[in-house]
Amino acid sequence: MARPDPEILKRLRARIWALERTAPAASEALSLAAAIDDALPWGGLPLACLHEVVAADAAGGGFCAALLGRLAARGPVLWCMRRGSDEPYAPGLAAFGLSPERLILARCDDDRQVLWTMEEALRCPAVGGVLGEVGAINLTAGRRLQLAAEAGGVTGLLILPPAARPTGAATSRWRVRAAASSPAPWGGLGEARWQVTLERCRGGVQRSWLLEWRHDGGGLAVVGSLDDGRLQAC
Amino acid sequence: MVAETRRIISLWLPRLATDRLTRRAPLAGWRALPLATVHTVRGGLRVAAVNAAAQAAGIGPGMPLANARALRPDLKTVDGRPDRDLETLTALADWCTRYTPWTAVEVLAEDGSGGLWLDATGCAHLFDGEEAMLADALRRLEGMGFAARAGLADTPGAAWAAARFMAGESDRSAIVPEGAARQLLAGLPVAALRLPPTAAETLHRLGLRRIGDLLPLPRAPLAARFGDAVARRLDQLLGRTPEPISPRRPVPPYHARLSFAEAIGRHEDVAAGLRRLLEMLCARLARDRQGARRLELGLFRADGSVARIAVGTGRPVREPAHLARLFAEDLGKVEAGFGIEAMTLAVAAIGPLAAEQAALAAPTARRGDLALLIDQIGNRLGRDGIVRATPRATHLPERAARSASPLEPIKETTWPTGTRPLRMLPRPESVQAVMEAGEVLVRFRWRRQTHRVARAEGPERIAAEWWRAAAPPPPDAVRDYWRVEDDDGRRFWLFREGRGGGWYMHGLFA
Repeated sequence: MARPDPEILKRLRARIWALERTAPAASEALSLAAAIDDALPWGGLPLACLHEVVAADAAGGGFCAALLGRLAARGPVLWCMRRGSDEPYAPGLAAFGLSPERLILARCDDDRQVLWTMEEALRCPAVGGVLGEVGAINLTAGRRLQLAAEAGGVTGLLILPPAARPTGAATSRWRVRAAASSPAPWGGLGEARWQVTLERCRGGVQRSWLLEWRHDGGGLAVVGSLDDGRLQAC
Repeated sequence: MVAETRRIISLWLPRLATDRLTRRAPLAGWRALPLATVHTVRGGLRVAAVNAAAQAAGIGPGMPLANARALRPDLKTVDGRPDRDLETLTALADWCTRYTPWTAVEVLAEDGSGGLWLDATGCAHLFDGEEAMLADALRRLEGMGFAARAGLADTPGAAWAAARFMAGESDRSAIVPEGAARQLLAGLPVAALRLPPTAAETLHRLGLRRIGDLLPLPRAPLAARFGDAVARRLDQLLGRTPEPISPRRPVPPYHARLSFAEAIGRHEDVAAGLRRLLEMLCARLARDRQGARRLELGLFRADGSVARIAVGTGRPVREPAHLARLFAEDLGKVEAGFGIEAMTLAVAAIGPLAAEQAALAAPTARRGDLALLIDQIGNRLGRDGIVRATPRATHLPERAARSASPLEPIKETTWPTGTRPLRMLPRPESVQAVMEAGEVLVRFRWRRQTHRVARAEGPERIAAEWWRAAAPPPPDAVRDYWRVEDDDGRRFWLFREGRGGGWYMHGLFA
């Protein structure tokens, strides 16, 4: 299929947004990788709104840490979670471009407190980004976070377990799981690979990619797209 | 600066035990009837405390209940609860902080009466003078259902004597002006010296009935004849010996109060009151180049109950807007009840904050906002609830990151090298491992899930920190760490203990 003219696409999108009144509050977006940016109406991950990440395993945390690492350039970032869970480990953060000095950890008693902390932080323009991990969330709580993110101009990431029902209040929803790496030439573990699916996004289409996280500073690299469940090289 | 003369209030609640019962429903109807609390003494029921009507009928503490019933067959009785009485007295001491932050419970006596101390030094002018202050306290206590007497003097001893022996039914407060204790109290009976009963009796037998009778006597023979108590109490009464009394709550270095002519109830009014208190205190903090680290707001309701809200800050602050925000959430939840009559604000902990620092603290609004956010979250989650990791020199992975306050300046930023996981388990978790040839890990079970090892990298040997231990380390005090990827691409940080020991999960790679 021939690739549509990006200019025409952009104009059409603008018209649809105007009709649906879903135009993103902030036009600023974080560029992830060319293939992903193309699938997002904003030309990247939009800032100052909420994104849900359904994480099947620890890979979801890695994807979010990589995003936080980028957001940390705008201000310190918060990671909110329940006490006693597996906490982010400072010596391992730098590998995701996230400097431990820029990360503030909030240990909460329960999900409600995680959501409260996230909301407070999202309303604070001095913050670069807020990540929260909860077991479940309802639509009202999701809307509150979305509104707080818009009000404070801060980007929010919400990690949910696969069993949690997505709220639909977020601007986008992602599903992330680990994927087998390609073996390193010397026989050890290769670069980490994640299967990242954009499940829902206002004005976007569902897409799936195989990403590789390049620890040497290469960042997110798209290894292939997985749109029909089959890997296609990009 | 001239040292201020101390001014002490002694509040006496002669019928605390019975007033506590009849001040509200369901026993309010018994207020005018003869009422006594009873307790068991050596197997028999005796009267513990009485109200005014019972006393008028000749019933008094210590009387066997049977005798009391003979005097008044309609005597109402309730089991005595000294624990509840003390609770009430303590709550009243707390309530009295509306007059001065320095209050203390003096005594809960066996006869059901109670006493409180208030250090009112430098407080009276806030209430249009000492007389008005005492009148206000007595009126409010009466409104709450407590009979009370008040004495005010330079020493606790003189105030105590004034409350119990000068104040009466018609004038329920007695003020001993500064330096006038000797003159005014000389006519009081020796019992006003807070003496043990035996000492008071001895004095009586010798015809020494009034405090004035003791004053001309030389001190040494007095002590020799009647024991130390009489001479000491006399010295305390006259202020020749200080009488240290500890306040119930620590006295804050900074304190401000507001009272309202009419009780307020709307949240906006309460918030405005807080704002005024903060402005008053922040101005004083600025003068002393200090900032607040911990504050406590007291809200005094018309029914005598007190609501308190405490907040803390991560670094010294004297910005009224910042501090007001920390109170905002809890303040919104306070029930005003019948209205709030007075508010106090105490700065319980302070830290130096130079004028320049205060100006620099918000070079851009953004930095100031972050400190406020961290304080707000810290007040909700606790100090260890909001942290930033700083490195610690150690080989042990679980000790490598120390939790510090996010507002603490960063000194060290060098982290250990080597591939480390994204997440760390709170403590290593044992896994069931299946190995081939006793060496190569092929499968393991962790958190009720089985993982087949696809690839592994290692080992990285990490030795125990033997220099920290008192005894030489056991031979198995080494860990061999492996990075392991399972069939699905999930990655783990596992270690094997010692040489050929058990396997543990310690971290998760992303």
